[in-house]
Amino acid sequence: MAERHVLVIGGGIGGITAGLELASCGVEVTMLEEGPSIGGRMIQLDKTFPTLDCSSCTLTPRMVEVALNSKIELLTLSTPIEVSKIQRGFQVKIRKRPRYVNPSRCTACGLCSDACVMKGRIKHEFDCNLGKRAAIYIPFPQAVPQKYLIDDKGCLFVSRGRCKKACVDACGPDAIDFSEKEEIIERYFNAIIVAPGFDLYDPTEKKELGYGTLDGVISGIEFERLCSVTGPTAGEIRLDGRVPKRFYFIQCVGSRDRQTNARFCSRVCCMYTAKHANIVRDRIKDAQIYISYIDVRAYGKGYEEFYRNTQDAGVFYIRGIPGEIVKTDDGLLVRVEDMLSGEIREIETDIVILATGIRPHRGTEELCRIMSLERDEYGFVMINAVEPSRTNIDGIFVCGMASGPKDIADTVASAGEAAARCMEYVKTVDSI
Amino acid sequence: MKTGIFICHCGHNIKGTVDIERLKEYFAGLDNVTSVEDYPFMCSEPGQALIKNNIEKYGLERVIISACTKALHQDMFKNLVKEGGLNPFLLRRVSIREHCSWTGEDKEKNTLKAIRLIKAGIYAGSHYEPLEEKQVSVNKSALIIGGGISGMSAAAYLARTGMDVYLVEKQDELGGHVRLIGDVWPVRIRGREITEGIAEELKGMENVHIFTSSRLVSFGGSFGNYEATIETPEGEKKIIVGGVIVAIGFNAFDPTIKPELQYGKDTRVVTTLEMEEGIRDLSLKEGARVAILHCIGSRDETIGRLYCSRICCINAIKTAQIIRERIKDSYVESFYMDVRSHPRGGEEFYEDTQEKGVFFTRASISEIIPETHALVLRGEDTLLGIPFEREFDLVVLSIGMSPPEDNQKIAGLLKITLDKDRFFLEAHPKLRPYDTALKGIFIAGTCSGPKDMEESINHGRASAVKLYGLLNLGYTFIEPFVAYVDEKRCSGCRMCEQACVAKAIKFDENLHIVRVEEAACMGCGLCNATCPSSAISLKGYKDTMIDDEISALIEAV
Repeated sequence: MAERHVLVIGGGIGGITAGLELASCGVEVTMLEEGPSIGGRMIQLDKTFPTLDCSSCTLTPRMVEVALNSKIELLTLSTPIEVSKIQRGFQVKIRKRPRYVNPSRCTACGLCSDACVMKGRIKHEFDCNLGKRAAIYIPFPQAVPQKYLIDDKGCLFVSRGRCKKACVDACGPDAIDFSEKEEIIERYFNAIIVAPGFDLYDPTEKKELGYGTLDGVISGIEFERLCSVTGPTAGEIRLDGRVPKRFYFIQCVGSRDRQTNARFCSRVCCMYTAKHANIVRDRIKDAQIYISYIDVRAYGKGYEEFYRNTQDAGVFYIRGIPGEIVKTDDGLLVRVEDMLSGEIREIETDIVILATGIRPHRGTEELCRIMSLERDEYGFVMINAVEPSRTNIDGIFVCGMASGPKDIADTVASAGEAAARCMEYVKTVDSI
Repeated sequence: MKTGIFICHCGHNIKGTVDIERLKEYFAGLDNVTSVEDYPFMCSEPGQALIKNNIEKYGLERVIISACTKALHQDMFKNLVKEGGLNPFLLRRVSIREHCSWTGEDKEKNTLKAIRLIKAGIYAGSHYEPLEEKQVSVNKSALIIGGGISGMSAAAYLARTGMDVYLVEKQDELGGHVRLIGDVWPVRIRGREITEGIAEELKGMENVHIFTSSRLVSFGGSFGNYEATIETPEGEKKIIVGGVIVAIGFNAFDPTIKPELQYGKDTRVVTTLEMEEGIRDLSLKEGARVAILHCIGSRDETIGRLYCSRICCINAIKTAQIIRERIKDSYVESFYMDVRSHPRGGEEFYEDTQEKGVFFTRASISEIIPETHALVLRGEDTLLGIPFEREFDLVVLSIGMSPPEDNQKIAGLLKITLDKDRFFLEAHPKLRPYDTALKGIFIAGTCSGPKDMEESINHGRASAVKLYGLLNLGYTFIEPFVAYVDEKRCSGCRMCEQACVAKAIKFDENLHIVRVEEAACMGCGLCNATCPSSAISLKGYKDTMIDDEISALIEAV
C-alpha cells in the first residue's frame, strides 16, 4: 500500500480513537484541534458514568499515545478553512493560529504563568469561566501537547503592544516568541474524518429556570468543573465560597423540547445527572438531593443498576420538570408538579444544576459548508443507520457526537467504524 | 558499576523546594557513582545532549534520570540512552517532581526524600539486566464466531483488506436476528435486504471461508497464532488464525418464565419478534384492541434482570405505530415504565406515534387474565395511582435480550470472562468496549450487552479495524517484562497456572515443571506473587531488586 494520509478533524475521544486506529493500520494521520490541547469534552469531566472512574485517568494515556505516535502529526490551534475535492482526495487549507511559544523549547515549567501580570485575571474557558488564569497558560495540567500558549486577547503585549513582558524574563529556555504569525498550511489528504464533537445547550433563554439571572443556578458541565480536582475549587463542591447542602438537578433542559427546537433525546444527561448525584452523595454525606426527570433513560450497560443505586443512596427522583425557580432569603425555591403524586411541590434548595442537552459543535455548520456535507434538521451531520459513519461526500466520514448524541462507549465504537470505512476508502485511492 | 545521575531542576519546579547542590554532594561521594550532573531542563535539547555525551564519555552502565514522572518523556529518554550506546532497559527514572518537590514546601524534608528516592533508583538499577523486545510473526487471518450483523460486518471489513476470514455460524444461514426483522427501524426496509447483501458479498470472496451449521469445539495458542477446531457438517476443521472476533449475539427473551403473562398458553399473546415475521401483512380485524407491554424480560427484579435491553422501547413504538396505521379504527395502548426512545430519530418517532393516536400509559402490569371474549389486562396506572382492568384482543410483549446461549461454552474455550448478567465482559466499559483482556480477541455486538443494529455494525467494524491494526504488519513485538521459571526451584505445584489470566503458563508433564509461553505472557506478575517457592519471576522485576529498593528508602541518609 502506498503512503496514505488522512485528516482527522477534532481531538476529542472520537478523533483520538479514529486517529490511533488509522495509525495502527499504517496510515499517516494529521489531527487538527482548534483548541490548544487535545482531550475534547471528556477531559473536562471529573468522573464518567456508570463506573465513576476518573475521566483523566482513562483518557490521558490515549492523549499521550497520540503525542508519541510517529504516524500522527498533531496540529493544535488549527481549523480547516477550505476543502476541495481533487480526484478521490482532498486539498485542504488549514489556518493555524499562533501559540507565541516555541513548542520545541517550552518545557512546561510554568514560571511564565506565575510571572504574567494578568495572572488570575482572565476567565478560564476550560473551567467554564468559573476559574481564572494568566494570559500565558496551559489549559489543564495534563494537556497534550505539554506546552504553554499565549491567549492573544488576554495578553497585554499582543492585544495592546504594551507590557513589561515578565514572562519573557521568567522563561529559562527562551521559548516565548511574539513574532509568531498565523500560518496557512495547504495539504493533500486521501480522506477525512470529521469529529468536531458537540456544544451544550445554553439555557439562558429558559427564563423560568433562572440560569444567568439567579445565583445558584448552574449547568451540568459547570458543575462538572466544580467537582473536578483540576477545576477552580480543586474538587471541593463550593459555590461563591459556600458548600451547598441542598441540591436540585433538572434533566432534559434543551432536550425533548420543541420550544428549543430540539425534539431529540441527548442520550447522556440522565446518566450524567445520576453521576453528579453520586458524587454529591459521596462528598457531602448529609446532602439533600432531588432530580427532576421525564423518563429516566438508563439504557447502556450497567446504567440501570447505576440508576437504582443512585436511588438507593437516598436521591429523590421527581417525575416532572419544574415550572419555576425563585429566590428566597435562604436560597432558591423550586416549584414542580410531581406527576406521580399529582401534587404541586415546593422544594427549597441551595443549588440548581441544569442537565443541558447536546447541540452540534458551533463549528459544525461552517465545517459542513466548506465540505458540502448535509446536516439534519438540528444541524448534526447526516448519516444512516446501516453505514453509520458515511456522509453524503465520498471520502469524508464522521464519528462521535457530530452525527448525533452518543455516550463515550458509543463514540469510541463509532470512531472505530469511521476508521474502518476510511481504511476501505483510502485503500482504493490512486495516489497522485 | 558505572552509574551516571542526572538531576533536573525543572525550572523552579524541583529546584524551588529541593536542594540540588546537596543532592550532588551526597551522590558524588557514593560508591559506583561515576558522574552527577544537573541541568535546568533535562528534557530540553542541551539536557538531552548532556545525558548522551556522558554515557559515551564515562562509559556509563546505568543511567538514573531524576526529574519528572516516568509517565512523561519516557520514550524520548529511552531512545536517548539507546543512541548513547546503552541498552534502554538500563535506564531508571526517579520522580523527584510529582513524588517529591510538588508534594510539600519544606525544602529540608523534600531534599531528604529526594536522596532516598534517587538512592532507591540506584539500588534497583544495579539489578537491571539488558533486555530486548522480541519480534514474533503473526498470522494475518481471523476467526469470526457468529454470522449476525456484527460478525458479518467484521468479516466483510477484514475480507476486503485481503485477510483470510473464517466465519462460523451455528444456524444454517447467515444473518442472525436482523434477518428475521420484517421492518428495520429507522431505515424501514426488510432485515433480509441488509443481511443478504453482505452475505452475498462474503460468499463471493475467495479469502472468506463460511461455515454454517458449525461451531467452535476447541481453542488454544496465543495472539497471532491461535489454533481453533471447528465442527462442520463435513467434519472437523483445524485452523490457525491471528485473532478472533466473538459476535454470537443474543437470545430473545423467553416470556414463558413469566406465567402471569399467558405467553405460550394463549395465542393472543405474542412477542415483538413474532410480530416482525408477519408485520407486513397483519391480519387483525377492524377496530382491534391491542396492548403493547414494554420491558418484558428487562428491568425486572423478580426474574433477576435489572438491565435495560435498550432496543425494546423502539420496537414497541414501531409495532404500535404500524398496527395503528394499518388496522382501521384500532385502539393501541402501550404500557411502559420509562419510554427510552434515545436513538437518533427515536424521540421524534415516539412523538409521531403519539400523534397518530397510540396511547402511552405509565403503568405496572400485574397479570393477563384470558377470557374467551378478550384478554383482561390488570395493572396499576403509576401516574394516576389507580388500579385498572382493561380488555384487549391482542397483547404484544416487547421482549428484551437475554445473553447468548453459548456464552459459557465460548467463554470457557477462549478463556474470556462473562459479566454478572452473563454477557461478555469488555476490557474497559468506555474506552475499550469491544476488547477483551486477551490480545487479539474481541467481543462485538450484542454478545457484550444489548445494542441496536447501528451500534452492532459499529462494534463489528470497529473491532475488525482494531484487529487489522494488530495483525497488518505480519509481526508483533513482545514486551520483555515476561515471566520466567527457575527450573531448579519449581516444584510443579501449578498454582501459577491457575493464577495466570493470560493462560501463558503450560505444565510440562515429563519434567513436572511449568513453562512460560512468552508470546502470551502479559507481564502482570500474578504468577510471581502466587508461587510458594519463588521459582517464577518477572524479567526486570526481581524480588531481590525490590528488597534492595525498599532498604534504600528506609535506611538512614
